[in-house]
Amino acid sequence: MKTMLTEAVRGKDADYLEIRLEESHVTRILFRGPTLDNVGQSVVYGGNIRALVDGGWGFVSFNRLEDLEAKVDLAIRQARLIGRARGEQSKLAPAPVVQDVVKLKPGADPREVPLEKKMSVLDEYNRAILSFGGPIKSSAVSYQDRYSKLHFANSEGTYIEQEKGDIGGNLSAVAVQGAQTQVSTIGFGGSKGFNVALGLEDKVLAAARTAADLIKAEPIKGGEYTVVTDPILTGIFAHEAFGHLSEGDNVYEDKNLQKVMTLGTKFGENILNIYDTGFDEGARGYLKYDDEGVPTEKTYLIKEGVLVGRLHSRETAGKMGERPTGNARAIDYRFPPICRMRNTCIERGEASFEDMLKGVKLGVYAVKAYGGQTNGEMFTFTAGEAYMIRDGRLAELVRDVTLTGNVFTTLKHIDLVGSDFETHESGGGCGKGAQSPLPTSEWAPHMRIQKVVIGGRG
Amino acid sequence: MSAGLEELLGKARKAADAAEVYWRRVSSTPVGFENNKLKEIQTNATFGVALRVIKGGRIGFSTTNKEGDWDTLVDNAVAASAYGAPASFEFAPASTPTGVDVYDADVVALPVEDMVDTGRTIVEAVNAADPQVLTGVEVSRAVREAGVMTTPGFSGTYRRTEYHVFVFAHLVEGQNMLDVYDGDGLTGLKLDTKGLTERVIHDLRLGRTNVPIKSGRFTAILTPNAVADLLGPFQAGLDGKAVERGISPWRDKLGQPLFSPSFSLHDDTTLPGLASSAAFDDEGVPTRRTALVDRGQLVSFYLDRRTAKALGHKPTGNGWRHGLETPPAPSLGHWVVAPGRDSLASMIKGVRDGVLVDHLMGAWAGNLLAGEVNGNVMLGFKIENGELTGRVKDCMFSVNAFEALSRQIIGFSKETKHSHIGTLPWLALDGVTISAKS
Repeated sequence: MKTMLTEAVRGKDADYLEIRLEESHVTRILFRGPTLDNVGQSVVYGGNIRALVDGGWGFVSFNRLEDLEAKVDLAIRQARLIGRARGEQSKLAPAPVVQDVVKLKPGADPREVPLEKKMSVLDEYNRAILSFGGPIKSSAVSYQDRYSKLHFANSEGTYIEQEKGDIGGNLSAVAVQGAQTQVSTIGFGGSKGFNVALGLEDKVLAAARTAADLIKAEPIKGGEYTVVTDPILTGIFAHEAFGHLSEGDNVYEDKNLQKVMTLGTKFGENILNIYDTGFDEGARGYLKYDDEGVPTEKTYLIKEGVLVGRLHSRETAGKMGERPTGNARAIDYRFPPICRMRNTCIERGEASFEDMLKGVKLGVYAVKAYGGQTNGEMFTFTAGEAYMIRDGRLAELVRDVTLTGNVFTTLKHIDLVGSDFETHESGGGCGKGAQSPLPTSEWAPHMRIQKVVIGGRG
Repeated sequence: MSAGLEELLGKARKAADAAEVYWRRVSSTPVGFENNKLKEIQTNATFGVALRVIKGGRIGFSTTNKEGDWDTLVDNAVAASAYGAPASFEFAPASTPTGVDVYDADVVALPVEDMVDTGRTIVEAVNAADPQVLTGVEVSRAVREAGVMTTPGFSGTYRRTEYHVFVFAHLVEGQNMLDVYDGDGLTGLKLDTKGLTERVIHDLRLGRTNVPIKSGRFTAILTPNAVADLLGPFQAGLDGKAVERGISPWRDKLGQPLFSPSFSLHDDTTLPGLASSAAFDDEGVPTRRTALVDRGQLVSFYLDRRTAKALGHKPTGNGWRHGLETPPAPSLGHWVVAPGRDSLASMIKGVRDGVLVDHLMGAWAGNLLAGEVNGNVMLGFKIENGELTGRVKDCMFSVNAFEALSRQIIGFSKETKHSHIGTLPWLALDGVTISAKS
């Protein structure tokens, strides 16, 4: 394989060429209520070639390995057509030439666990939810694991064979009463084997309890609040509110955004530190090499409130005169790599949970998240559950809590960062363009934000 | 269809009691402009097969992109069937489906250079209107072939061409960002790229001025994009699976007048020229027009084979697959909301103090089964005394879709537009909650 791939990209008439092959084995299990909705196994097999000529990219994806040379030629022809229109010099930031074979550690390959075992573990969670009683009328239990073997070769002499393991799942309890439906979900995931799916019984019961309680909760009254976020929501905040804005492909050709995102700009208080890392073994965002063959790293985005870095591919780094950070990722062989996050974290601070509640006359403690979205300047996310804070104490549970804000002003309004730090993994993934879901992680502590707008009809 | 797939069905028949083979072959060529410049051309040729088997009364499912590796595919499906869901339904019976018109040879013959020209024309027009804006365009053409074969004897294939144009304009001024985007897709080339470009330019011009908004209740006109968000709860609640699980708020409400008589919704994947149309769904059920809500009355859910059987109804041809690797499930095809009588212009004229809401952010993440639609107003405009006066931002839009479509409707527009879920009119609602910074 190595010879075939390295030969395919060597000595061609292009500024840069790469070839990527993938064979993945995927298992999916889905229960909805008492019904097993799906148990399925997939073989994902294909590859792509990417060519760069005079600043233009050609990309060819395929399922058949035959006629590689013709595919390489097509990618180059497409790139040249664009290169002629752009008439500029190709610019890729230099990356080390790597020859490496990365194997999964023992126990990390999800294929080692028999399907029967996976089924019985998930079946038990599903039964625990359905037998909870009261208003819990249904469930959704989803699980996916993926073993991938990737081959990468480029025209600079890099050749990498990489094995990856990924597991993600969501366990949801659904409460129904009259026309009211409420859901509470716990997510899990990791890159180090099936163990992350074990021992979740207590969390499952807690989710069922929350869903049952939410049925009785009143919707929140919309308005501006002091908000304390739990580590899961803090992580989503880091990802949605700042991670996406830090992706180099948003910035590299946008002179106006470059002004806003000038390194050295003060964005928050000194207590605020945000980084994105590929180093955390076991995290879904763990990554040794990105999909351009660049070794990953721990990249600080904000240090003591100041912008210090961003998430780059070789092209965005090259065009901005910065260093590639190993953030070029593709969900599979059908797509070219683009700037994406890995494990995006807010660093541990010094405040205790009590410190955060202290002095808050009317606020919201927002816990877990359904999901979030951003357009760069504004973000929104929906809390999985939320409690009012009244006179410095946690008060009643409320429902339908969607937080929104302007990224820049909200960063300035973070006034406390917790001394706790949770290595939480979610079961879903990140979406950008057509590429979704990509395994990412968000680890974080509790956090307090002033003046957050919460929508609501109450 | 290649002989290879017949061979696969033969192998599956031997290894199991019944089998269904679904396959697709897609070749697509997207041409991409980024930040005003031609950026990338792709050629993607993908092939995949999904196999469902019934063995010992249980369903097994597997997929592959490895053409010819049928033994692994069959083994994986049979292995999954040992733990699979009880087979409560049958695969498609013997029949010869008749097609709708979804193939246009002009799309296949379209030179890449023409696609580049189309993209460049759009970029130049937007740039001429506002040189500060960075514009992205994707022009793509695709040919999709798909087929279903079952052991009971169904055998059908279709070919569909698809032509898409998507425009994305981005403006950064200090820490103020403005995103305007629009797109459309058809099975042929008669796509109104000029109209598309003009709409983008119009919204960019209007969006340049920010106007303040205070929290309160407003008259809101929702564009077809925002109407699509408002229908999120209907997508969740009319889904046969939600009904089967007993979590749909309408599980026992069929035939009841739940909404305003001015609201009618149907699903239609038989419309010629649309990239969502096909002869049959992804499990061999002929497509059709299905009324879901008729003049306010709930008349049907949307169903695949399995949920239809479980609920004692007929399948509605909504058994679509989300990607190759998941089995068919009830999914919306192409939704059509009945238009009203008023023109959009007269609807806007009639609003004294209100908002026009186009794009909502994060509205999908709310509690849809409870009807809650909460979204940050990513693109919206203030209406004052019948005029659009500028952009409103940093605020949340909140409605309950069920209440909105029963008690808050002022009217639907006579004009309609394609959104990502179907053909929809503009909708004026009364008493919509906007939450803003105090």
